[in-house]
Amino acid sequence: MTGEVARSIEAQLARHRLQRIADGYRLVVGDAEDACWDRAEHLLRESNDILGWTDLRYLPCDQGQRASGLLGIAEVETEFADKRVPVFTAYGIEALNAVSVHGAFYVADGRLRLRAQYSLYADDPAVYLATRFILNAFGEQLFFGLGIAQGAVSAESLAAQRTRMDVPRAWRTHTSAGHFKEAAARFRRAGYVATSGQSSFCLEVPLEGAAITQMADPEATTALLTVSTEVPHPVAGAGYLATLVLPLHLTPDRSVEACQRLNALEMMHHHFVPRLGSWGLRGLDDELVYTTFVPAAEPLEGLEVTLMNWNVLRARNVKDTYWSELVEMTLTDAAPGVPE
Amino acid sequence: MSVLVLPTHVEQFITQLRAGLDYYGCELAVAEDRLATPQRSILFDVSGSECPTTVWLHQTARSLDSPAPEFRVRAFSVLRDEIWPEVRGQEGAFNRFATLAALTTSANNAEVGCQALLVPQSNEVLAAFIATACKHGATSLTQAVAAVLSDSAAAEQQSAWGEADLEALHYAYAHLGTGQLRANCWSMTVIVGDVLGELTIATTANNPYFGGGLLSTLRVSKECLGFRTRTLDTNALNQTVLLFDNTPVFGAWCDDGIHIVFVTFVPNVLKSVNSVLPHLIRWAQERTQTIHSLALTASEGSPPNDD
Repeated sequence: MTGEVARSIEAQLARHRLQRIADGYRLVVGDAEDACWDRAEHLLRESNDILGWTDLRYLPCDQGQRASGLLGIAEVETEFADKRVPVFTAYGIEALNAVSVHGAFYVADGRLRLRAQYSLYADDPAVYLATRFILNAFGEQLFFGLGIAQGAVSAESLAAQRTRMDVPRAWRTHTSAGHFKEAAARFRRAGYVATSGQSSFCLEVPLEGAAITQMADPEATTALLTVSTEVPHPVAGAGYLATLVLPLHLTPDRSVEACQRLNALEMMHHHFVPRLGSWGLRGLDDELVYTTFVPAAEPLEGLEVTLMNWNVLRARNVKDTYWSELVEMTLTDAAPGVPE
Repeated sequence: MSVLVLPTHVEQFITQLRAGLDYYGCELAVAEDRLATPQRSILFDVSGSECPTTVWLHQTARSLDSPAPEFRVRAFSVLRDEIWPEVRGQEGAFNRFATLAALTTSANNAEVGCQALLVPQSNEVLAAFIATACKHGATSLTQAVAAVLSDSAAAEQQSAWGEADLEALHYAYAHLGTGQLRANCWSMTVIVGDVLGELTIATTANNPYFGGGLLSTLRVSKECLGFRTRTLDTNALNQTVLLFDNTPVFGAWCDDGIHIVFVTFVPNVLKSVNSVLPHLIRWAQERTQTIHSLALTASEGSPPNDD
């Protein structure tokens, strides 16, 4: 892998003792002495003290994609040791995805996993930010993922995870309301209906029809996007929260199916915004929401606008690519075989 | 029990309600089974409660000819004869201490009641709330007022809900962009048309009867309901919502001068019930949607034609 982001990552990882795997690195957490891997880096025998492992791999792209500036994809994926995580139903996984950090939970080969992707470009304007996102995902995905999965079991378990993480839950200095006012104004200039508050701003992206905001027309079909800096994550603490809600009313089975499909499809994109969050289900009505949480102990210059930009592009991609399929799902029953 | 078959979720609700009452040492006994009559209802007596308490389960009038019958459950405790003349006209003051049921008075009696339409996804919450209302709804209200008047409130008890619960709630509803987290309290603005509601959920340690729990208030400006200068009789409003509201009524409307406020207190004992907080939020959203027409109905005295 070439490119400034990859070089920057290589330089930082060179200082750490990490297991090398094909096209990347593996971070095993726990006592891995007894763990046994085959040549394809699959686990043959699990150590009793292993919590899981996180791989950072560079996925190559083809000639045509390289011609358009894409260098490849950095993929960060954690596999959790079986005995360390509870067993979740398919619905439970998508509820978990509403609070995931650094990627989307899914199950493969009977094992809970968490995966994030970041497309790397030759002309990336924010090398520092891209490097930070990828390295933070590599270093934190397993810890936060485990905390989130174990914390989902009960209030007592969540309290234990919060104590174990011991992360800051608020910033010492806050971004000013003027900051968000300016961010909202920027998106208004681009034609969106955007409003701001003390520590957040939101906007709507029309998905069909002429109406552009539900504030004027409650029937308007718009996605609601928010970015907030004072919504601490229940496990990961202070940081940036970006959400994208689709105005759909699906049955629980269909909601699970839609989440699984959207998460899987996003991972198949090459030219796309970073996949650092996940589609998940929120509330009693199983609202379909894409959630990105970026743990941060202090404000990061301009990140609120970056996160909003990513979700605007995500919403537009849903509109152009999947919207009619999703609407169709509201009209039909779930396909047989969708797990509970 | 009647030979007529109730929908599965209604049967399950009755089972869960029995279990909830059993927890409090109360029992549910069929007093009148009218499932075979056009009214399709069952009246239960609840034993073990301090006031005479009944639970009435009936199919709604609007669903009598429907292939998907809809059932409503109502629970009422009648206050002792010597109490009701004292509370008449004071309902507003009493209802500030409402927990899971509303005090209403008529010319002949005073009752403390709650009601809900049965929906399968909410069975656990509804059964737990109604069981608690049957056991404690009336007593919690009268004893709370007595305790405050005699300056002998119950000892403080830490709320079973804490910072982690409110933070998780704030995170779970952040996508709506209208929530606010403060110390011991989470609030959310609910806007439906011209009606603006402010929902506040606060951890509380000093309920005069229960001690610890969760206090939920939904505040709606009387001005936006068209009652800035007109009087809104909250006793009539509570009677109306207990009869017709499609949103579960666990608590009571009272008046703080500028707003009408729907008060619910959820005691610590209900902490283990699943999805209490999401239900409080959903009910507040639905209540904001229906309060305008119900307030008009209460003030005009004509029932909406929906039950």
